[in-house]
Amino acid sequence: MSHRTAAFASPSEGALPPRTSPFAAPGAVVAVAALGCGLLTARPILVGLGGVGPGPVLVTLFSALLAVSLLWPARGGADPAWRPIPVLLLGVGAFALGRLLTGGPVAAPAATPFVIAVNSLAAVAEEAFFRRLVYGALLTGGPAAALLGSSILFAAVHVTVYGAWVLPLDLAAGLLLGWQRQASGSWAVPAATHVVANLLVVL
Amino acid sequence: MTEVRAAGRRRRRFGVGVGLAGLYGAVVLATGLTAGHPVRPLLDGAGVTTPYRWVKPPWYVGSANVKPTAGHTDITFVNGVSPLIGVNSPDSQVIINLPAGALPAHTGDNVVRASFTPIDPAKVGKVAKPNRADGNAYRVDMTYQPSGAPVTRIVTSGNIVMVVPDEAAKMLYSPDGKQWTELPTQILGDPNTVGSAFNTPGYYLVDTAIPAFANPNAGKGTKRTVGIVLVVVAVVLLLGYVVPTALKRSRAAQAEAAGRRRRTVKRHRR
Repeated sequence: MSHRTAAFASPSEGALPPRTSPFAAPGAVVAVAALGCGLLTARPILVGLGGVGPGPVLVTLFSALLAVSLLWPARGGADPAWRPIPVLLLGVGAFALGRLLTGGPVAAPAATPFVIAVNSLAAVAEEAFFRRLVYGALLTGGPAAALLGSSILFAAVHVTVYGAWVLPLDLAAGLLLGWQRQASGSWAVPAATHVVANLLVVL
Repeated sequence: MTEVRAAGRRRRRFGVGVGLAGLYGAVVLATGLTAGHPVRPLLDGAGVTTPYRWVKPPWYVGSANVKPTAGHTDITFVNGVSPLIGVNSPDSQVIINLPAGALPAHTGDNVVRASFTPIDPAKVGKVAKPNRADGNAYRVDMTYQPSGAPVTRIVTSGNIVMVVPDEAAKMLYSPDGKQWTELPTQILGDPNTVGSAFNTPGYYLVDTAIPAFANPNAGKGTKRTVGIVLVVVAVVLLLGYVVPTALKRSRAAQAEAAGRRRRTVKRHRR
Protein backbone atom coordinates (compact mmCIF):
# COMPACT_ATOMS: atom_id res chain seq x y z
CA MET A 1 0.00 0.00 0.00
CA SER A 2 1.48 3.34 -0.96
CA HIS A 3 1.70 6.11 1.62
CA ARG A 4 -0.98 8.09 -0.23
CA THR A 5 -3.43 5.20 -0.22
CA ALA A 6 -2.69 4.73 3.45
CA ALA A 7 -3.61 8.35 4.07
CA PHE A 8 -6.98 7.79 2.43
CA ALA A 9 -7.61 4.76 4.56
CA SER A 10 -7.82 6.95 7.63
CA PRO A 11 -9.22 5.10 10.63
CA SER A 12 -11.00 8.26 11.75
CA GLU A 13 -13.07 8.74 8.64
CA GLY A 14 -13.27 5.34 6.99
CA ALA A 15 -11.31 3.38 4.47
CA LEU A 16 -11.33 3.48 0.71
CA PRO A 17 -14.41 1.81 -0.70
CA PRO A 18 -13.93 -1.51 -2.46
CA ARG A 19 -13.27 -1.40 -6.18
CA THR A 20 -16.77 -2.71 -6.91
CA SER A 21 -18.49 0.20 -5.12
CA PRO A 22 -20.10 2.78 -7.38
CA PHE A 23 -18.33 5.37 -5.19
CA ALA A 24 -15.03 4.04 -6.47
CA ALA A 25 -15.98 4.58 -10.10
CA PRO A 26 -13.38 6.81 -11.71
CA GLY A 27 -14.56 10.36 -11.75
CA ALA A 28 -17.72 9.72 -9.72
CA VAL A 29 -16.64 12.10 -6.98
CA VAL A 30 -15.71 14.70 -9.58
CA ALA A 31 -19.15 14.42 -11.14
CA VAL A 32 -20.82 14.77 -7.74
CA ALA A 33 -18.60 17.73 -6.85
CA ALA A 34 -19.39 19.38 -10.19
CA LEU A 35 -23.11 18.81 -9.71
CA GLY A 36 -23.01 20.17 -6.15
CA CYS A 37 -21.06 23.26 -7.18
CA GLY A 38 -23.37 23.76 -10.14
CA LEU A 39 -26.48 23.63 -7.96
CA LEU A 40 -25.00 25.96 -5.33
CA THR A 41 -23.98 28.42 -8.02
CA ALA A 42 -27.44 28.24 -9.62
CA ARG A 43 -29.18 29.21 -6.34
CA PRO A 44 -30.58 32.50 -7.70
CA ILE A 45 -32.30 30.55 -10.48
CA LEU A 46 -33.40 27.65 -8.28
CA VAL A 47 -35.10 29.82 -5.64
CA GLY A 48 -37.31 31.28 -8.35
CA LEU A 49 -38.53 27.88 -9.53
CA GLY A 50 -41.85 26.35 -8.55
CA GLY A 51 -43.23 29.51 -7.02
CA VAL A 52 -42.76 28.13 -3.50
CA GLY A 53 -40.35 30.80 -2.30
CA PRO A 54 -36.70 30.47 -1.32
CA GLY A 55 -37.24 28.62 1.98
CA PRO A 56 -38.32 25.17 0.71
CA VAL A 57 -35.86 25.31 -2.20
CA LEU A 58 -32.90 26.11 0.05
CA VAL A 59 -33.88 23.53 2.65
CA THR A 60 -34.15 20.86 -0.07
CA LEU A 61 -30.88 21.90 -1.69
CA PHE A 62 -28.85 21.98 1.52
CA SER A 63 -30.42 18.78 2.86
CA ALA A 64 -29.55 16.94 -0.35
CA LEU A 65 -26.03 18.38 -0.32
CA LEU A 66 -25.53 17.29 3.29
CA ALA A 67 -26.90 13.80 2.65
CA VAL A 68 -24.72 13.19 -0.40
CA SER A 69 -21.63 14.59 1.32
CA LEU A 70 -22.12 12.42 4.39
CA LEU A 71 -22.99 9.28 2.47
CA TRP A 72 -19.91 9.61 0.30
CA PRO A 73 -16.92 7.77 1.72
CA ALA A 74 -14.64 10.30 3.41
CA ARG A 75 -10.99 10.56 2.55
CA GLY A 76 -8.16 12.00 4.54
CA GLY A 77 -8.42 13.06 8.15
CA ALA A 78 -5.47 11.28 9.63
CA ASP A 79 -2.66 13.03 11.47
CA PRO A 80 -4.50 15.93 13.09
CA ALA A 81 -1.88 18.36 14.33
CA TRP A 82 -4.10 20.03 16.90
CA ARG A 83 -6.99 19.19 19.16
CA PRO A 84 -10.30 20.60 17.89
CA ILE A 85 -10.86 23.21 20.61
CA PRO A 86 -7.94 25.60 19.92
CA VAL A 87 -8.57 25.29 16.17
CA LEU A 88 -12.26 26.02 16.71
CA LEU A 89 -11.49 28.98 18.96
CA LEU A 90 -9.11 30.51 16.46
CA GLY A 91 -11.70 30.28 13.68
CA VAL A 92 -14.58 31.55 15.80
CA GLY A 93 -12.37 34.36 17.09
CA ALA A 94 -11.51 35.42 13.54
CA PHE A 95 -15.16 35.48 12.48
CA ALA A 96 -16.18 37.35 15.64
CA LEU A 97 -13.47 39.90 14.89
CA GLY A 98 -14.77 40.09 11.32
CA ARG A 99 -18.24 40.85 12.65
CA LEU A 100 -16.85 43.61 14.86
CA LEU A 101 -14.83 45.07 12.00
CA THR A 102 -17.73 45.06 9.55
CA GLY A 103 -20.29 46.32 12.06
CA GLY A 104 -23.19 48.26 10.69
CA PRO A 105 -26.86 47.49 10.54
CA VAL A 106 -26.95 45.52 7.30
CA ALA A 107 -26.91 41.87 6.52
CA ALA A 108 -28.93 40.08 9.10
CA PRO A 109 -32.23 38.42 8.46
CA ALA A 110 -34.69 38.62 11.32
CA ALA A 111 -33.56 35.92 13.74
CA THR A 112 -36.62 33.71 13.48
CA PRO A 113 -36.20 30.02 14.38
CA PHE A 114 -36.58 29.18 10.68
CA VAL A 115 -33.83 31.58 9.60
CA ILE A 116 -31.50 30.28 12.32
CA ALA A 117 -32.27 26.69 11.31
CA VAL A 118 -31.69 27.31 7.58
CA ASN A 119 -28.49 29.25 8.23
CA SER A 120 -27.17 26.44 10.40
CA LEU A 121 -28.22 23.78 7.90
CA ALA A 122 -26.52 25.75 5.11
CA ALA A 123 -23.33 26.03 7.15
CA VAL A 124 -23.17 22.34 8.01
CA ALA A 125 -24.12 21.23 4.48
CA GLU A 126 -21.55 23.48 2.82
CA GLU A 127 -18.81 22.33 5.18
CA ALA A 128 -19.73 18.66 4.64
CA PHE A 129 -19.54 19.30 0.91
CA PHE A 130 -16.44 21.50 0.65
CA ARG A 131 -14.37 20.37 3.63
CA ARG A 132 -15.32 16.66 3.51
CA LEU A 133 -16.20 15.62 -0.01
CA VAL A 134 -14.35 18.16 -2.17
CA TYR A 135 -11.35 18.49 0.17
CA GLY A 136 -11.07 14.71 0.39
CA ALA A 137 -11.24 14.34 -3.37
CA LEU A 138 -8.59 17.01 -3.93
CA LEU A 139 -6.21 15.39 -1.45
CA THR A 140 -4.92 13.30 -4.36
CA GLY A 141 -3.04 16.47 -5.35
CA GLY A 142 -1.73 17.01 -1.81
CA PRO A 143 -2.94 19.02 1.22
CA ALA A 144 -2.12 22.39 -0.35
CA ALA A 145 -4.15 21.59 -3.47
CA ALA A 146 -7.04 20.40 -1.30
CA LEU A 147 -6.96 23.56 0.80
CA LEU A 148 -6.67 25.95 -2.13
CA GLY A 149 -9.02 24.07 -4.46
CA SER A 150 -11.84 23.71 -1.94
CA SER A 151 -11.47 27.39 -0.95
CA ILE A 152 -11.60 28.61 -4.55
CA LEU A 153 -14.73 26.56 -5.25
CA PHE A 154 -16.30 27.69 -1.97
CA ALA A 155 -15.78 31.34 -2.97
CA ALA A 156 -16.85 30.78 -6.57
CA VAL A 157 -20.27 29.30 -5.76
CA HIS A 158 -21.20 32.44 -3.81
CA VAL A 159 -20.57 34.85 -6.68
CA THR A 160 -23.99 34.44 -8.28
CA VAL A 161 -25.72 35.02 -4.96
CA TYR A 162 -23.76 38.00 -3.67
CA GLY A 163 -21.75 39.41 -6.58
CA ALA A 164 -18.10 39.25 -7.55
CA TRP A 165 -17.03 41.58 -4.72
CA VAL A 166 -17.42 38.72 -2.20
CA LEU A 167 -14.73 36.63 -3.89
CA PRO A 168 -11.78 37.82 -1.76
CA LEU A 169 -13.83 37.67 1.44
CA ASP A 170 -15.14 34.17 0.86
CA LEU A 171 -11.78 32.97 -0.43
CA ALA A 172 -10.15 34.14 2.80
CA ALA A 173 -12.97 32.55 4.82
CA GLY A 174 -12.62 29.33 2.82
CA LEU A 175 -8.87 29.22 3.46
CA LEU A 176 -9.43 29.65 7.18
CA LEU A 177 -12.13 26.96 7.28
CA GLY A 178 -9.95 24.67 5.13
CA TRP A 179 -7.03 25.17 7.49
CA GLN A 180 -9.30 24.18 10.38
CA ARG A 181 -10.15 20.98 8.49
CA GLN A 182 -6.47 20.32 7.91
CA ALA A 183 -5.26 21.14 11.41
CA SER A 184 -8.00 19.29 13.28
CA GLY A 185 -8.39 16.40 10.84
CA SER A 186 -12.16 16.76 10.92
CA TRP A 187 -14.75 18.68 8.92
CA ALA A 188 -16.85 19.07 12.09
CA VAL A 189 -14.61 21.89 13.36
CA PRO A 190 -15.09 24.18 10.32
CA ALA A 191 -18.79 23.22 10.34
CA ALA A 192 -19.16 24.42 13.93
CA THR A 193 -17.20 27.59 13.10
CA HIS A 194 -19.37 28.24 10.05
CA VAL A 195 -22.55 27.82 12.12
CA VAL A 196 -21.25 30.33 14.67
CA ALA A 197 -20.22 32.73 11.88
CA ASN A 198 -23.74 32.61 10.45
CA LEU A 199 -25.29 33.08 13.88
CA LEU A 200 -23.05 36.10 14.48
CA VAL A 201 -24.79 37.71 11.51
CA VAL A 202 -28.40 36.96 12.39
CA LEU A 203 -28.34 37.28 16.17
CA MET B 1 14.73 14.92 18.76
CA THR B 2 11.78 13.61 16.74
CA GLU B 3 9.39 14.99 19.37
CA VAL B 4 11.02 18.41 19.17
CA ARG B 5 10.62 18.41 15.39
CA ALA B 6 6.99 17.31 15.69
CA ALA B 7 6.29 20.08 18.20
CA GLY B 8 7.92 22.56 15.83
CA ARG B 9 5.73 21.34 12.97
CA ARG B 10 2.62 21.66 15.13
CA ARG B 11 3.56 25.20 16.10
CA ARG B 12 4.21 26.12 12.47
CA ARG B 13 0.85 24.66 11.42
CA PHE B 14 -0.94 26.71 14.07
CA GLY B 15 1.05 29.71 12.93
CA VAL B 16 -0.36 29.18 9.44
CA GLY B 17 -3.85 29.25 10.99
CA VAL B 18 -3.11 32.48 12.83
CA GLY B 19 -1.78 33.93 9.59
CA LEU B 20 -4.92 32.90 7.70
CA ALA B 21 -7.10 34.38 10.46
CA GLY B 22 -5.14 37.63 10.10
CA LEU B 23 -5.50 37.51 6.32
CA TYR B 24 -9.24 37.02 6.72
CA GLY B 25 -9.43 40.04 9.09
CA ALA B 26 -7.50 42.18 6.62
CA VAL B 27 -9.76 41.13 3.73
CA VAL B 28 -12.88 41.86 5.80
CA LEU B 29 -11.55 45.30 6.61
CA ALA B 30 -10.54 46.01 3.01
CA THR B 31 -13.89 44.78 1.68
CA GLY B 32 -15.77 46.88 4.22
CA LEU B 33 -13.80 49.97 3.24
CA THR B 34 -14.25 49.50 -0.49
CA ALA B 35 -17.75 47.99 -0.73
CA GLY B 36 -19.50 51.22 0.20
CA HIS B 37 -21.65 49.56 2.85
CA PRO B 38 -21.11 47.22 5.80
CA VAL B 39 -20.46 43.61 4.87
CA ARG B 40 -21.19 40.29 6.49
CA PRO B 41 -18.28 38.30 7.92
CA LEU B 42 -19.29 35.25 5.91
CA LEU B 43 -21.80 35.51 3.12
CA ASP B 44 -23.95 32.49 3.39
CA GLY B 45 -27.17 30.93 4.52
CA ALA B 46 -30.72 31.68 3.52
CA GLY B 47 -29.74 34.45 1.13
CA VAL B 48 -28.68 37.95 1.92
CA THR B 49 -31.07 40.06 3.86
CA THR B 50 -30.61 42.98 6.13
CA PRO B 51 -32.20 43.78 9.45
CA TYR B 52 -33.93 46.46 7.50
CA ARG B 53 -37.18 45.28 5.98
CA TRP B 54 -37.62 46.53 2.47
CA VAL B 55 -40.81 46.95 0.49
CA LYS B 56 -38.63 46.61 -2.59
CA PRO B 57 -35.17 45.33 -1.64
CA PRO B 58 -32.07 46.53 -3.48
CA TRP B 59 -30.06 44.03 -5.51
CA TYR B 60 -27.55 43.23 -2.75
CA VAL B 61 -30.26 42.26 -0.26
CA GLY B 62 -31.40 39.24 -2.24
CA SER B 63 -34.44 37.06 -2.06
CA ALA B 64 -34.81 36.47 1.66
CA ASN B 65 -35.93 40.00 2.47
CA VAL B 66 -38.77 40.03 4.97
CA LYS B 67 -41.28 42.48 3.54
CA PRO B 68 -42.73 44.88 6.05
CA THR B 69 -46.47 44.83 6.53
CA ALA B 70 -48.97 47.55 7.33
CA GLY B 71 -50.35 47.65 10.83
CA HIS B 72 -52.06 49.81 13.40
CA THR B 73 -52.21 50.54 17.09
CA ASP B 74 -55.27 51.88 18.92
CA ILE B 75 -54.72 54.73 21.35
CA THR B 76 -57.50 54.82 23.94
CA PHE B 77 -58.33 58.13 25.57
CA VAL B 78 -58.29 58.17 29.37
CA ASN B 79 -60.83 60.50 30.93
CA GLY B 80 -61.18 62.23 27.57
CA VAL B 81 -57.41 62.85 27.23
CA SER B 82 -54.99 60.97 24.98
CA PRO B 83 -52.27 59.29 27.07
CA LEU B 84 -48.49 59.53 26.91
CA ILE B 85 -47.78 56.75 24.45
CA GLY B 86 -45.36 55.38 21.88
CA VAL B 87 -46.68 53.63 18.80
CA ASN B 88 -44.67 51.92 16.10
CA SER B 89 -44.96 50.24 12.74
CA PRO B 90 -45.01 46.40 12.83
CA ASP B 91 -41.40 46.34 11.60
CA SER B 92 -40.39 48.89 14.30
CA GLN B 93 -38.76 51.03 11.63
CA VAL B 94 -40.99 53.97 12.53
CA ILE B 95 -41.79 54.97 16.08
CA ILE B 96 -44.01 57.86 17.11
CA ASN B 97 -44.01 59.16 20.67
CA LEU B 98 -46.89 61.36 21.77
CA PRO B 99 -47.10 63.27 25.03
CA ALA B 100 -50.29 63.17 27.09
CA GLY B 101 -53.03 65.26 25.53
CA ALA B 102 -51.30 65.40 22.14
CA LEU B 103 -54.40 64.25 20.29
CA PRO B 104 -57.45 66.52 20.43
CA ALA B 105 -60.64 64.98 21.73
CA HIS B 106 -63.38 64.21 19.22
CA THR B 107 -67.05 64.04 20.08
CA GLY B 108 -68.40 60.49 20.19
CA ASP B 109 -64.95 58.87 19.79
CA ASN B 110 -62.61 57.64 22.50
CA VAL B 111 -59.94 55.87 20.42
CA VAL B 112 -57.43 57.03 17.80
CA ARG B 113 -56.15 54.38 15.42
CA ALA B 114 -52.55 55.03 14.34
CA SER B 115 -51.81 53.15 11.10
CA PHE B 116 -48.48 52.62 9.40
CA THR B 117 -48.15 51.64 5.75
CA PRO B 118 -44.69 51.01 4.28
CA ILE B 119 -44.35 52.16 0.68
CA ASP B 120 -41.77 51.64 -2.03
CA PRO B 121 -40.13 55.08 -2.33
CA ALA B 122 -40.24 54.78 -6.13
CA LYS B 123 -44.02 55.07 -5.86
CA VAL B 124 -44.03 58.44 -4.10
CA GLY B 125 -42.48 61.80 -5.01
CA LYS B 126 -38.78 61.81 -5.90
CA VAL B 127 -36.21 63.03 -3.41
CA ALA B 128 -34.26 66.14 -4.45
CA LYS B 129 -30.98 65.20 -6.13
CA PRO B 130 -28.21 64.39 -5.44
CA ASN B 131 -29.75 62.58 -2.48
CA ARG B 132 -31.80 59.41 -2.74
CA ALA B 133 -34.42 57.67 -0.63
CA ASP B 134 -33.00 55.81 2.34
CA GLY B 135 -35.24 52.79 2.84
CA ASN B 136 -39.03 52.75 2.69
CA ALA B 137 -41.42 55.66 2.77
CA TYR B 138 -44.19 55.36 5.39
CA ARG B 139 -47.69 56.67 5.36
CA VAL B 140 -48.88 57.48 8.85
CA ASP B 141 -52.66 57.76 9.26
CA MET B 142 -54.58 58.61 12.38
CA THR B 143 -58.32 58.21 12.56
CA TYR B 144 -60.83 58.53 15.37
CA GLN B 145 -62.76 55.39 16.21
CA PRO B 146 -65.48 54.42 15.76
CA SER B 147 -66.35 57.39 13.52
CA GLY B 148 -63.33 57.02 11.22
CA ALA B 149 -62.80 60.78 11.10
CA PRO B 150 -59.17 61.71 10.36
CA VAL B 151 -56.93 63.35 12.94
CA THR B 152 -55.82 66.51 11.20
CA ARG B 153 -53.74 68.18 13.86
CA ILE B 154 -51.70 67.41 16.95
CA VAL B 155 -52.19 69.67 19.97
CA THR B 156 -48.75 69.11 21.45
CA SER B 157 -45.82 67.99 19.28
CA GLY B 158 -44.61 64.47 19.62
CA ASN B 159 -41.58 63.00 17.95
CA ILE B 160 -41.04 60.53 15.15
CA VAL B 161 -38.05 58.21 14.97
CA MET B 162 -37.10 56.32 11.82
CA VAL B 163 -34.55 53.58 11.39
CA VAL B 164 -33.00 53.45 7.92
CA PRO B 165 -30.54 51.15 6.13
CA ASP B 166 -27.92 53.75 5.16
CA GLU B 167 -26.46 56.81 6.82
CA ALA B 168 -29.30 59.33 7.00
CA ALA B 169 -29.25 62.91 5.79
CA LYS B 170 -32.69 64.47 6.41
CA MET B 171 -36.16 63.37 7.38
CA LEU B 172 -38.77 64.44 4.84
CA TYR B 173 -42.49 65.03 5.18
CA SER B 174 -45.26 65.23 2.61
CA PRO B 175 -49.02 65.52 3.17
CA ASP B 176 -49.77 63.66 -0.07
CA GLY B 177 -46.57 61.78 -0.95
CA LYS B 178 -45.80 64.02 -3.93
CA GLN B 179 -43.70 66.94 -2.76
CA TRP B 180 -41.28 66.54 0.13
CA THR B 181 -40.45 69.10 2.79
CA GLU B 182 -37.27 68.77 4.85
CA LEU B 183 -37.84 68.45 8.58
CA PRO B 184 -35.36 69.54 11.25
CA THR B 185 -33.59 66.24 11.73
CA GLN B 186 -31.60 64.83 14.62
CA ILE B 187 -29.26 61.88 14.37
CA LEU B 188 -30.07 59.64 17.31
CA GLY B 189 -27.17 57.58 18.53
CA ASP B 190 -26.10 56.12 15.21
CA PRO B 191 -26.34 57.53 11.66
CA ASN B 192 -29.09 55.07 10.80
CA THR B 193 -31.57 56.32 13.38
CA VAL B 194 -33.04 59.77 12.96
CA GLY B 195 -35.72 61.75 14.70
CA SER B 196 -37.84 64.83 14.18
CA ALA B 197 -40.90 66.52 15.63
CA PHE B 198 -44.23 64.89 14.84
CA ASN B 199 -47.00 67.39 14.21
CA THR B 200 -49.26 65.76 11.70
CA PRO B 201 -50.02 62.45 10.01
CA GLY B 202 -48.88 62.06 6.39
CA TYR B 203 -45.97 60.60 4.45
CA TYR B 204 -42.51 60.30 6.00
CA LEU B 205 -39.24 59.38 4.35
CA VAL B 206 -35.54 59.75 5.09
CA ASP B 207 -32.98 60.57 2.42
CA THR B 208 -29.28 59.88 2.24
CA ALA B 209 -26.35 61.51 0.49
CA ILE B 210 -24.63 58.17 -0.03
CA PRO B 211 -24.84 57.17 -3.70
CA ALA B 212 -26.69 53.95 -4.47
CA PHE B 213 -24.42 50.92 -4.55
CA ALA B 214 -24.65 49.99 -8.21
CA ASN B 215 -24.92 46.35 -9.12
CA PRO B 216 -21.78 45.54 -11.08
CA ASN B 217 -23.64 42.65 -12.69
CA ALA B 218 -26.87 44.44 -13.48
CA GLY B 219 -28.73 43.51 -16.64
CA LYS B 220 -27.04 40.20 -17.16
CA GLY B 221 -29.46 38.14 -15.08
CA THR B 222 -30.01 34.48 -15.80
CA LYS B 223 -27.58 34.28 -18.72
CA ARG B 224 -24.78 35.48 -16.49
CA THR B 225 -25.72 33.04 -13.72
CA VAL B 226 -25.76 30.17 -16.21
CA GLY B 227 -22.37 31.33 -17.50
CA ILE B 228 -20.90 31.31 -14.00
CA VAL B 229 -22.42 27.89 -13.29
CA LEU B 230 -20.69 26.55 -16.40
CA VAL B 231 -17.38 28.14 -15.40
CA VAL B 232 -17.57 26.69 -11.87
CA VAL B 233 -18.43 23.22 -13.18
CA ALA B 234 -15.57 23.49 -15.66
CA VAL B 235 -13.18 24.44 -12.84
CA VAL B 236 -14.32 21.41 -10.83
CA LEU B 237 -13.77 19.14 -13.79
CA LEU B 238 -10.41 20.74 -14.40
CA LEU B 239 -9.38 20.23 -10.77
CA GLY B 240 -10.84 16.75 -10.70
CA TYR B 241 -9.75 15.31 -14.05
CA VAL B 242 -7.19 17.38 -15.90
CA VAL B 243 -4.85 18.34 -13.05
CA PRO B 244 -4.73 14.84 -11.46
CA THR B 245 -4.25 13.26 -14.88
CA ALA B 246 -1.39 15.64 -15.67
CA LEU B 247 0.14 15.00 -12.24
CA LYS B 248 -0.21 11.25 -12.70
CA ARG B 249 1.47 11.40 -16.10
CA SER B 250 4.23 13.58 -14.75
CA ARG B 251 4.83 11.21 -11.84
CA ALA B 252 4.77 8.21 -14.15
CA ALA B 253 7.30 9.90 -16.44
CA GLN B 254 9.49 10.74 -13.44
CA ALA B 255 9.26 7.15 -12.16
CA GLU B 256 10.12 5.83 -15.60
CA ALA B 257 13.10 8.16 -15.87
CA ALA B 258 14.26 7.14 -12.40
CA GLY B 259 13.87 3.48 -13.36
CA ARG B 260 15.92 4.04 -16.49
CA ARG B 261 18.61 5.76 -14.42
CA ARG B 262 18.68 2.86 -11.93
CA ARG B 263 18.92 0.31 -14.73
CA THR B 264 21.74 2.27 -16.36
CA VAL B 265 23.66 2.49 -13.07
CA LYS B 266 23.22 -1.25 -12.51
CA ARG B 267 24.49 -2.01 -16.02
CA HIS B 268 27.53 0.21 -15.44
CA ARG B 269 28.25 -1.52 -12.12
CA ARG B 270 28.16 -4.91 -13.81
